[in-house]
Amino acid sequence: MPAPIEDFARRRPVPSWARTREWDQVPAQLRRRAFFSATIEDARALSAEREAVANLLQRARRPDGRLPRRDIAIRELRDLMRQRGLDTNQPDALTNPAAPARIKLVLDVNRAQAQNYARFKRSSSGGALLAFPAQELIRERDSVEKRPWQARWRAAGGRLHSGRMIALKSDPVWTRLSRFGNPYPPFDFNSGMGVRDIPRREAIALGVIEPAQTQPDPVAEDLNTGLESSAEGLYPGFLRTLRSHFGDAVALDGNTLRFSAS
Amino acid sequence: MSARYTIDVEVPENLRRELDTLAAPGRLLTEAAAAGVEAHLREHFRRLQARPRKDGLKSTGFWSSTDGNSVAEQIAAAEMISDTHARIGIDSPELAHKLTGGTIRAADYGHTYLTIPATDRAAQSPTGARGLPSHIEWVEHPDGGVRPALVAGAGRPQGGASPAGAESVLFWLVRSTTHRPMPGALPAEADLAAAARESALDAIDALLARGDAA
Repeated sequence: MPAPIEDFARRRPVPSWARTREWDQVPAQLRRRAFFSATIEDARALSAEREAVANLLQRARRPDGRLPRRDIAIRELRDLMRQRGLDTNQPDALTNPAAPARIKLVLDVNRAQAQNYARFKRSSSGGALLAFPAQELIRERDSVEKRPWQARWRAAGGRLHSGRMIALKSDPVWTRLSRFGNPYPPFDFNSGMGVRDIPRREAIALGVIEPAQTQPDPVAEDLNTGLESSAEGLYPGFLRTLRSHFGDAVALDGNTLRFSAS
Repeated sequence: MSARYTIDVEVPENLRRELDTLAAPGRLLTEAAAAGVEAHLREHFRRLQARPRKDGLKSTGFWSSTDGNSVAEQIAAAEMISDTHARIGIDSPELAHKLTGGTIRAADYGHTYLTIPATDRAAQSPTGARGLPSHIEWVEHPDGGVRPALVAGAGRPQGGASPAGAESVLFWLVRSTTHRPMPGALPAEADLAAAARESALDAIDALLARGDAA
């Protein structure tokens, strides 16, 4: 099974001025292979963020012999962003690359995505999938402002089982639920929602699965989803940036941006 | 002290015999048992996370969270030692300290003081004590005595202002802090064994439903 760092190491850094809104228009499969931070075109700054995430994932000791810590990483990145002239002097704005809250978000989302991708891979195949064919969307961390997750669940095609948001691991609801197009958490920025494995016997008791039913093995992510998106309104410069990093794997067909995962 | 805790999962002999009646590799059963142990660990850490903090502050997601920092998120993929033996690791110095207890000294980290958050704002600061404007004052501690603290505000007020009260303290400063071991930081071995067995049985049930019986 891949360790979180192995998946993360495969992500290519893509410096670009593109904002979150533009990145949202990029096919999910391509986003999953890129390391980016909205509006950061500075390759050195982006590289430093990528290295900080990698160090936190690996828990590799620093040159001074200490384990990496997120608060120290945030301070060091803030100082670097200032040195690179990226501080917009808005201390709490998520659009400011030097704002601690923004840097924390970048570190947390990327680290959580790598960890949860590894967990998704191991829980969606082999014996783990036989024993735990379904999962439940649960609140893992309290949030000051909670999103209407049950409404989002229904809108994504999810069914409630005894009032709980449970579905097979292979159900497309997980990908539809995610802002990032991933079938695993985090499902949105700063989200406190996670998943809990549901054992086969509980899944049968709740009517999620029939006693005679099993899932295809392995579930793995559906490689036919998230391969294309609308390119409406995307600037040609951003498309050129993507092509410079991913070559012919990125193609524009009319108003559709396609990514060939192979 | 190692920061990695490992839990070995071995399939019991009686389940191995049941497995022999199936045409599926034994590895599946061990993977299922390991997944059961992992799920039980996560549930255990969620329960610990749900308990209120002793200092009354809001949770920072020490045991279980979604930001990649918690103990639960450090559970690694099971390493398959053999078809009937898996090993699950948790790479967490924080968990190691909870289990063994001990004293953390500021000097060991090249610092003069450790910072102990006194408010939710301090506990939730993404850059720790350096992220909040503050200055050092000696302040009466609620438990008695006068102690050094980081008080909100970039500088000490001038000209006869009243000394800071405990309510304006962001962090208390201490030379060291000592914790007792927390045996319940990990689930009981019997509970982990039961979780492994239940999951292995679920896997056998699924294999039978799939028609993998020999």
